Parts: sequence; structure tokens; C-alpha cells
Amino acid sequence: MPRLACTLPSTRGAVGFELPIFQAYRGANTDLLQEIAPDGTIRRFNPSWLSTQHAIRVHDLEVEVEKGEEAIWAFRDEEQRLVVGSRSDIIRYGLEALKRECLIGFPLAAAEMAAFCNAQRHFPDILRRAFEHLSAMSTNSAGSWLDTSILLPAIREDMAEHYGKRVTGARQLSQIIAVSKGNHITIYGPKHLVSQEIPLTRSLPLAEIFGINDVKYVSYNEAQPSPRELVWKVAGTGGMIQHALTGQPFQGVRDFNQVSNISEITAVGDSKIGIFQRPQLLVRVFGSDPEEVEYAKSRLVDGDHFRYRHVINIRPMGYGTPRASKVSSREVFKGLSHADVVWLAATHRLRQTGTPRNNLGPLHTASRTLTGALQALVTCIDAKGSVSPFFEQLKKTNSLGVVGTWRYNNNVTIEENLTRLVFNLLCEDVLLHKAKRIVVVWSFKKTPAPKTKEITLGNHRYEVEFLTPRNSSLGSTLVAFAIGVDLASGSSSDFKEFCVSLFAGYGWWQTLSSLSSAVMQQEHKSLRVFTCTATKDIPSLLEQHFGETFLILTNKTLPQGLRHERLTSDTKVIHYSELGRWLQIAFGGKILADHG
Amino acid sequence: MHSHDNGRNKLRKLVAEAIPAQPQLPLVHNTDAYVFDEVLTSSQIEPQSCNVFAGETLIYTFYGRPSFRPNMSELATSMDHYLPVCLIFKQSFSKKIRRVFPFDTGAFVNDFYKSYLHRKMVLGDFALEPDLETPGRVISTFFGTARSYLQARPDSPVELDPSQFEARSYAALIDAKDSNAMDSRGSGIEVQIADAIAVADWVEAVIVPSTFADSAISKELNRLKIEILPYDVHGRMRPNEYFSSISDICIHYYAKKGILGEIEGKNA
Repeated sequence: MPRLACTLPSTRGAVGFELPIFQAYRGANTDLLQEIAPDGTIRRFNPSWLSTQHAIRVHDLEVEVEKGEEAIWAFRDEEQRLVVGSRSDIIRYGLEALKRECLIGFPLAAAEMAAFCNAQRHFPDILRRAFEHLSAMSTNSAGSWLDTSILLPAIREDMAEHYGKRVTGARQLSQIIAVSKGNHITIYGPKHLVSQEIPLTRSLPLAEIFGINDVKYVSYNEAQPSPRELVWKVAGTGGMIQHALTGQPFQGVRDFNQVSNISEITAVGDSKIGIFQRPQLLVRVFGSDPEEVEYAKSRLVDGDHFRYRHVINIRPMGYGTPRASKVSSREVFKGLSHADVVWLAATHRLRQTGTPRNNLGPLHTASRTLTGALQALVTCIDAKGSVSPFFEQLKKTNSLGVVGTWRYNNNVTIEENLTRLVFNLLCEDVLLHKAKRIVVVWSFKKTPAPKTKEITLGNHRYEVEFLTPRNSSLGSTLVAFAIGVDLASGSSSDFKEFCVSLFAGYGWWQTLSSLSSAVMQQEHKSLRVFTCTATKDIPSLLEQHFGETFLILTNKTLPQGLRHERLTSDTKVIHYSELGRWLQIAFGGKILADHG
Repeated sequence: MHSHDNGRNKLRKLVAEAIPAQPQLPLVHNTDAYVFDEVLTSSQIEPQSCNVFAGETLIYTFYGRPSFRPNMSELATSMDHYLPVCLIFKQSFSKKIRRVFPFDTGAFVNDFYKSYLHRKMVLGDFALEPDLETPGRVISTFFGTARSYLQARPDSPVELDPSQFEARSYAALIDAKDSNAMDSRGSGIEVQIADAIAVADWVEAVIVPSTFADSAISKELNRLKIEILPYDVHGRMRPNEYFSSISDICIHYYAKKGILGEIEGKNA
């Protein structure tokens, strides 16, 4: 059972309350402090780190106490004797000492004892004497003591009683401040606590001891933070945007649109007044479900007051032929052509990434692409208010674009990093090589951005420009915007071009080409590849080339009979998203820049 | 330059662009009753060796708020500062400032803020311009008014650019309600000073245990023309939310002096 070992006074020779310090047994190394529960009992004992250099030993005083029992209090009297006991013991001693004016030479200690005994009203002279004692030093000292040690605790108790615990928790009560002057006192606080007079049954009698009888309630002025104005807004629907905007760095806010029955998430950025003449950038993000596309259309119209308006469409998550219910890239572009640019995010459709080998599933790929694209767009707004050439050149062009991201890999060349970035822009719905420009937002500090760079992927060369914004949070993530791409026709030749570019991403190059096939080569390895955009053509192709070494790539969901439980090097027909896996199985190949 | 001084400059730049909130609040230095006795004897606050900025000797002050370092547990927090003494400096204080941080650096290195910060954030990411206008700029950026800062209650949610990682983390920290964040016992804006401070020259008032008012210390404080602002000793031991805190005394003092616009003590 813990026993009282010593008490810690506030200063040498002081009269007043001291902190009791316990030990588990005589001579124990660890000191213990009692933690007092609101009902006055000991909730537990905790180890103490306080220095006991100035503590006073209790010597032969035997006080033992256990958790759950009444807490122990210690008071050093006017003759430096220690009075120890439970609260009721100390109150008994205190009332007697106050009546007999034992503490008359120590007016603050006497006033504190009166407060401890809840007997301040019964000892008005003691309170007045303490006030006068402090007034002799300074009126500020006396005023501070009166307002904060005598009146404020009583006012808080009055408020807690009047409003109830629910309204007046500790945090609310701590905002109450009382300032007295002459015969009046002003109680400041949050509006809901000071909007009406309340019965001051405890505090007013105490105030009257000091001649205070006029109470005023004042609420804090409404906060007036420096005015700011909206600069950009990113909003959207669907799981992907929720994922991208909820966390850092956007900290978006969810809202449920009751009219449309659609849940939307919004993130905004602002600046001081006067930097921009109007809100700069609105970006709306949406998936490929019809209701999301329709909602984006309607909301984009409402964003007329923004200087620049962009939309990002996340292409469907699954592989194979998109469901008929999904809106095609063509329809999306047609429906939202009043945006400056309709960006497609489709990197996640390029390769199946659900295996442990690749770690990132398509959701993560799409989320990374989207987050990177949004950060890059927001970053392109100059915080100092300069016109952004990037946005200005795209303004009202109503163009179609593709976004892609790539985290810079230090172990490979800048060319290989950029090739991979361009690879991530590939999308079967558009002709990337028709892009008017490819702009890369480059925030990577370790390697300075080149002025321009020419990248070859498949049969096409891409001139890449670089943008190095001042305050970017993208770090090593490179974000590419391919601007002004054409929609693919869906023809077999377009698909073939797309497939040749995909192969290039794995380091394979086209050496021969015919109408229906191409021969792809990597070092000494070569492979004949057929591309097929109609499921019905696949059986005849397989039959015609029976016994040969070849691969058929399709952009359609494989028919039942051709689906494979697992890929092998003998597999002849795959969806293009399986190319990476198949090449690895058949040739041990890997996608460019994936590993150092 | 200390290794903790290395970091990103984004928060520093953001804060530097703000207009300092008025009024300017005094700096507050916290110590305990026994150390204060020694301070009075030597008439100087001496820089102490520091386990955060190892190898340096520093005086830690906080802007306006008598902030205490969060410690190992709820109880230890209050008991570590069982009888604190808060020295309120004159508003005209003009010593050279070594560093300014928006929070208690000791709490940062002890991971008390970790739930609000990215694991890669380092102390240097939060270093601010070392001058006396910086705390006012922090207040206008994140708190709105001096009173909101003093009561650790930001007036309105701050909207910040997503690229402002540190600023966003700090905004989340000051808006947090748990005891390791910036509640009444939490941290304020830390201002570090490397040179000794003469008590008689720069200290205007001290918040002390009420027992000091009855003791010889009060005579010495009177001689130095330093105001004594007493608090109840037994209140420090009682788990009673109605008891006033050291912060209340500080705010009341500012109000009485007319420092706080929202609480017009002079006209009350």
C-alpha cells in the first residue's frame, strides 16, 4: 500500500498547500503521485518524475492510502507544521484555522483555504484581506487574482449548472473570461454561452464582497480572418475521385446532391484577395457511367465563372471490351466539348496489374494517374497571379487529351523514363501520335528538366516539352499531358499501330509489317503478331496459322473457348492488356523502366 | 547550422507572405518555482543546453501563450508543471531571435504530433523566419485572431493549397482536440533565443503560485517592478474543470492591459 514519503512545497518556507509524494514502500526508488478522480478518490498512482530536491520528508508520520480511497491533501500551516489528511480532514482543520484567524499573516494562503473549504462566502474579510494585500503590490495583481482565482471558477460553475454538461464541456468553459472594473464585471465568451443573463448564484455573492454588482455579457466578435478568394476547384463523382481527393494533399469534402442523387467530392484552393481577377481553374472528374457523364456535363455549365475549365474522364476499370453501359471516349468528348480540354485517364487499362509481381492493381494505377494529373494542373496556376501559358494556350480549344504519370526511376536513363511516361499515355481510344503537343510537368529536383526531348515509341516520334512549375508537390512523379489527340477510328490498322507501340514499351520493335500482321523483334528474338478487332476472326486466324509461332492480340474480351486459366508461352490469343505478362512468361521480358 | 534547420521552405514562405495579426503579443517563458528562485537570484534567464537542438544553449519562449510541453501521460503533463512560473516579457522585447517554430519542437521530436504529420516530415520543414513578426503571421494564416490563438481555437477552417503539405498538417494539428495537440496544455508558437535575458530589463509580469505572494519572493518582484499574478496551488492538484488555468490568467492580463481587441479590459 503506497505510503506518504514527503511533500513538495511551492517555495522554501511557504505556508499553504503542498504536493504529497508517495512511495510503494519505505526506501523505494520510484516516487508516486496520486491521480485524483472528480469524486475526490484516488483513481490510481502514477510514477513521478518531479525532482524531490526541495521536498520535505514526513519522517515519523505514517500515512498509507490505497487506490479508490479518499485522496490525501497536505497543508503547511503558519508554524510550518504539516497537516495531512483527507479532504474532509483538511476542511475541518481549515475552517477552524480560518475562524481562529491562524492564517492572518498569510492572506493568500487563507483565501485559498477558504476556497478549498467551499467557504469563501462565509469569510468575506479573508477574501478582502487577500485582495488588499495584493493591491498593495499592484492593482493588476489584485485584479488578476480576483477575476481569475475567485470569480471565474464560480462563474464557470454557474454556467455549467445553468446550461448543463452537454453545452458546457471543459473546452467551452475554458473560453469564458471575466474582467472586472469598479463595480461591474464583464463576462466574455462564445455567443451561445453569453447571449442571455443566467443566475449567478455562486459568483455574484462573491463579486458583491468586492462591491461588484453589475454584470455584463459580451460575446467574442465574430472571427474576421483575412479575406480570401477562390482560385481553383476540383470536384467529381465516382470512387476514383473520392479516393484521390479524400486524403493528402487535397483534403476534399464530400457532399450529397439530393437532386441528382449523386455523391460528389470537392477540394478547393484559395489565395489572398486581389491576386486573381476571377476563379482560375475548374476541373471536373468523372467515371464512364452515363449518369456520371451527364452530371459532369450539367455541372461544367455551372462553372462558367472559372477562367479555365477542364474535365478528366476515368476510363472503365475492367479489361476487355468495355460494357455496353459505359459511355465511350467519343461520346464523352462529344458531350463535354465545351470544356477547354477533355482529358482521358486510361493508363490502368494498358496492362493487367493485379498480380503480386506488379503490386499495383488497376485501381491504384488509376488513382495515381488521377492524383498526379490533378496536382499537376493545380500546380500550373501561378500563386503570384501570373497568367499560366499552359492553360491560356488550351483555353477554349475544346480539345481531347490524355494524361499519364510515371515516377522517375533513377536507375535508368532520362530517355527510358520518358519513354515509359509516353507509354503510359497510350490509349486504344485515341491516336497518341496525332497529339499536337506532349507537355510534361517536371518537378523532379535531382535531375533538371531538359528543354525538349524527342522520344520514339513504336513507329512514332514524340516531341516532349517540359514545364517546371515553381511550387509543385509532385516530387519525382512526372505527369504528361498529350494535347490534341485524335479519336481512334476503331479500325484494325489503328489498333495495330497501338499494339506496335505497346510492344515498344517492352523493348520490342517492328521489323516487318503486312496488312494483317507485324513481325516484332527484340535483339535476337522475333515474333509474328496478328492484331484482331473482331472476335469472329480469331478462329480462322488460328486455323490458318496452325503449327506456326505467332501471337494474336485483340482488344475484345476473349470468347469462352479461348480464355485461359493461366498464361503460358503456348498461349496464342491474348487481350492486349495481358501482353506484359505473356512476354515475361515467354521471353522473360519486362516493361521499360519498371525495374532498375 | 543545426541538422534540424534543414528542411523544405514551403511553410516558411507561406507564413512570410501573411500580414502579421495585431496586436503583437508578449513572449512568455515557462519555468518551475524552484528554477525561478534561482533566476531571481542571478537576475538573468540563462540559455540552457538543449536536447532537441543538441550542442546549443537556448531559452525557449512561446508567443503569448504559457504553453507546456506535453509529456508521457495526462497526469504527468500536469504534474511535471505542478507549480509552473510563467514570465511575461515586455511587448517591447527586442533580443535577437534564434528560431521560430509554429509548435513546441520538443513535442515534435518526441512524436507527439505524429498522427498529424507525414512520416517524412522533418522539424526543419516547419522552421519559420526568425523574427518577432513571424508569430503574428502564423496567427493570421492559421488562427484568425490573437484571442483564437490564445484559446487554441482556430476561428475557421483554413483552406490551403494541396501542395502545402506542412501547412495542411499544421492546420490539422491546431484543430485537433486531443491532449497532445494544441489544447490549453499544448503547444504554442515557439520562439527560441540564444542570449541571456536580464529579468529586470525584459520581464513585465510573472504568473506564480499564490504562496509566492505571501513570501520574500514578492518583495524581490516588487523591487524589480514586476507584476505578480498569483494562481491557486491546490487548484493544480484538483481535477476540476471550473478552476481557472494559467492561460486564463495570461489572457486576463492581456485583456486588462488592453492588448486584446476582442476583450476590452480597459473599458470593461
